[in-house]
Amino acid sequence: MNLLQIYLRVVLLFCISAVSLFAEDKSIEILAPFDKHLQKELTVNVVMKFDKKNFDTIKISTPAQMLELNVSSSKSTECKNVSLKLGENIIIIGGYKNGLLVDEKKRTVYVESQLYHQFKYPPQKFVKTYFHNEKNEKICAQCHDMSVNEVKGVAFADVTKSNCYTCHKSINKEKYGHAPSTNYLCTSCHNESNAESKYITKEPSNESCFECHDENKELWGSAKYGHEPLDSGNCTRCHNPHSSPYSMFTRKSVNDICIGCHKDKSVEAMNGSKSACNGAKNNKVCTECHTPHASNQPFFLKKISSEVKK
Amino acid sequence: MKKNISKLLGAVVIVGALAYMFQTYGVGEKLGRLVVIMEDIAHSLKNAKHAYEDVNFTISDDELRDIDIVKISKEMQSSIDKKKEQRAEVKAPPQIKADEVRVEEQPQHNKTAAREAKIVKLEDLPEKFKPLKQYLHQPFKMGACQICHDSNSKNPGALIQKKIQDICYECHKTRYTKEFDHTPVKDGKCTDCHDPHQSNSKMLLKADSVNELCMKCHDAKSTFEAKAKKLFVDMKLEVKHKPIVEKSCLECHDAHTADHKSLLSFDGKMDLCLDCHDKEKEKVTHSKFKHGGVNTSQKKCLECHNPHATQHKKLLKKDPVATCLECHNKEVKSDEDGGMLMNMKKHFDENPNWHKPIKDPKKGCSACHEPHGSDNFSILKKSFTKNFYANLENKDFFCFECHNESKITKRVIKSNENNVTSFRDGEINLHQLHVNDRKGRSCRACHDEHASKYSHLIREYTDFNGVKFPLRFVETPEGGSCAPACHKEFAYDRVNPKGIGSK
Repeated sequence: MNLLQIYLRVVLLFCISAVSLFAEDKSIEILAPFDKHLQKELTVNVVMKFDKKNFDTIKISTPAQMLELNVSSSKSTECKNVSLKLGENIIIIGGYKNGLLVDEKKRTVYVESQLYHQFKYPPQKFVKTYFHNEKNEKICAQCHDMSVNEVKGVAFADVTKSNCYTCHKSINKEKYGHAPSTNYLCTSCHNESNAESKYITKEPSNESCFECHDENKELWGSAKYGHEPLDSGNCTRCHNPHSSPYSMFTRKSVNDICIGCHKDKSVEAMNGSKSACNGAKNNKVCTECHTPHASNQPFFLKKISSEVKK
Repeated sequence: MKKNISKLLGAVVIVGALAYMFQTYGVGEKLGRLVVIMEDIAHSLKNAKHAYEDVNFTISDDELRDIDIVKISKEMQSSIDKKKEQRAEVKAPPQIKADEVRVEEQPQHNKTAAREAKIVKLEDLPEKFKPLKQYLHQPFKMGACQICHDSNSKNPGALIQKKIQDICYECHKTRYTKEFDHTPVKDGKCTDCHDPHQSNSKMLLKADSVNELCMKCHDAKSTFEAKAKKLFVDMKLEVKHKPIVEKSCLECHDAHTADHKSLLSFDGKMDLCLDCHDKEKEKVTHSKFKHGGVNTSQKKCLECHNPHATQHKKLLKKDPVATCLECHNKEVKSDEDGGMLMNMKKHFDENPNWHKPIKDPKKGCSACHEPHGSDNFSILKKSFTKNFYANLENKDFFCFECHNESKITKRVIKSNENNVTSFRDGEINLHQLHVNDRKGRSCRACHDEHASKYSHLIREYTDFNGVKFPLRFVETPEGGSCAPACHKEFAYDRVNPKGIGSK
């Protein structure tokens, strides 16, 4: 199915470019994202191609951001990073000339999250699409160096020298950054390839994580009880492997993550129950008493329950 | 024309005849020996420590009675005849087991009447042959010249045997036939080292001491042309091996023959050294981690040490650091874990700020490493951790031998305190912040224990799971900033604190 879609897309792309060669086209061509794209990150790169004679302003609006772009540079291709929110995002790209709308394009992107029930199961029409394959890269390669220029085992002294940085700097904008990501050693994890993309990651993600965090593998592997996300190998369910505003690169604050699945342990739920968890009632951080990965004590307690209760 | 030809022919015949004479009667050899004897006597007369009267050369009647010169010479003749027969049969020297020859046999003379023997009274000897030295060769002392010299010959210096060693071996029955012979022994030149008549030193040496004798040939400045120049030893250098100075060369070397190369009784690369150096023996043989430079190298101990004399402490061939860099000038495979050890020479060349102990000319690398082997990884003298994460609090780590632990693990530093770490943000000890708890980092996470381009030996790269991440350390007058893999760019200031985690 995917192959057919890609085929169709490629044909479409070719048709469009063929047409644009012959006719004066007053439309904006959206190279990325693909429509009905499914992703986990809360930002997306919008790549537009247009004839700069026809536009003076480009407006990109997403549910999370409005972006206005003055077409003054000599570039006819623009790449802009915009923020998204969880769930379905309609990205509207409008091209204006003298305050009048000349062309408008729409793209629908779905941001899934395993931490929230409502965003856990995206509608079927959304599929994960990939940009980094030979055909797509050819377009960018006219101006950009699309090769991987990282030296295996040595991080960039100046990360802006990384070819990946040019387009993907936004994923590392948050306060807490994961070292391989903030140092643009992208291929440490994006080290697999298939027909659709050159840089996919291993699934489940834990295999890549344990390559570095091997001491944790031993520590948790030997524990009596394992937390489901860890056991199923989905480290990235709670952690963002790139960067996050929260310490330990968690996708949300610790309690928000826990309550995403353990709804019955929210403050509201706890206040109406007779459960023993005083911590939740007092809105303490769950990980003060519980370990989120693996434990030898029931309820993933850090110490035996009698000590914790105090 | 004809006359000329006949003259030429005559000359050729005469020269040939002379050459034949020289060859058969050993004229040259005898003349040479005479010259040597004369020179020696002249030398001893010049430097005689004892007055002529002081030297006790008289022989008691009992002693004389014990010597039967006639019998000795008869015995000699018969044994020489036997030898000749034997030599005709087998040319190869007899194989004698090493242990059998070790005990030096002292010549014994038969206790029979010797009065009739032809004894030369020492008083009657020509002035130049008078015994003037402390130690006299027994036959010379007895005036029994004919044991060695041919009394029937017209030439007074003529020997009874053409080859000197044949004469010596008649009485000194020890044969030097171990695997390695000293070249003069092999060539039968006993008299190169020993004086057959008299000497001022024991064993009738041709010098005042053993070392002096050895250095006659083995000094780098001597005219002796050994096959290989490596046989030369420069004993004028400052640091000398103790046994040579306090005793003699013979502490390690045998003057005549030995089972091991360089005339040694054990393998000279290591076994011989460890025979005396007990501490090193323990390290070399029993430590958990061994130094390839000693244990698996070609020259073993001699890779780094010169057994005789050098200009450097511990008899090292070069100064301590240079000695190590002889091998560590490339990536070397580690015996410890099979990994590759870094090219230290390159590292030191590229990074001008060296860890202080390495700069100490007395210590060098051995300030921290034990070059003979150690139970700690990287043959360190004391334990440390290989891990990136290591809580340093209350640990008996090597670094704390010199660096004050409390300086690093104390949480808050008051402004009036002295001798505190510079790595602080106001009162907050940032060292403590980095090393405490389960995820405390080892010193080596940020510091390069060898050398660095940056001050405080801050690393250029931190190795985390095989990936080198730059620390991006920038120093300011009262603080600095880092942007390593662990966190974004964080700055600190000792005077105007920036607040932990601030940019």
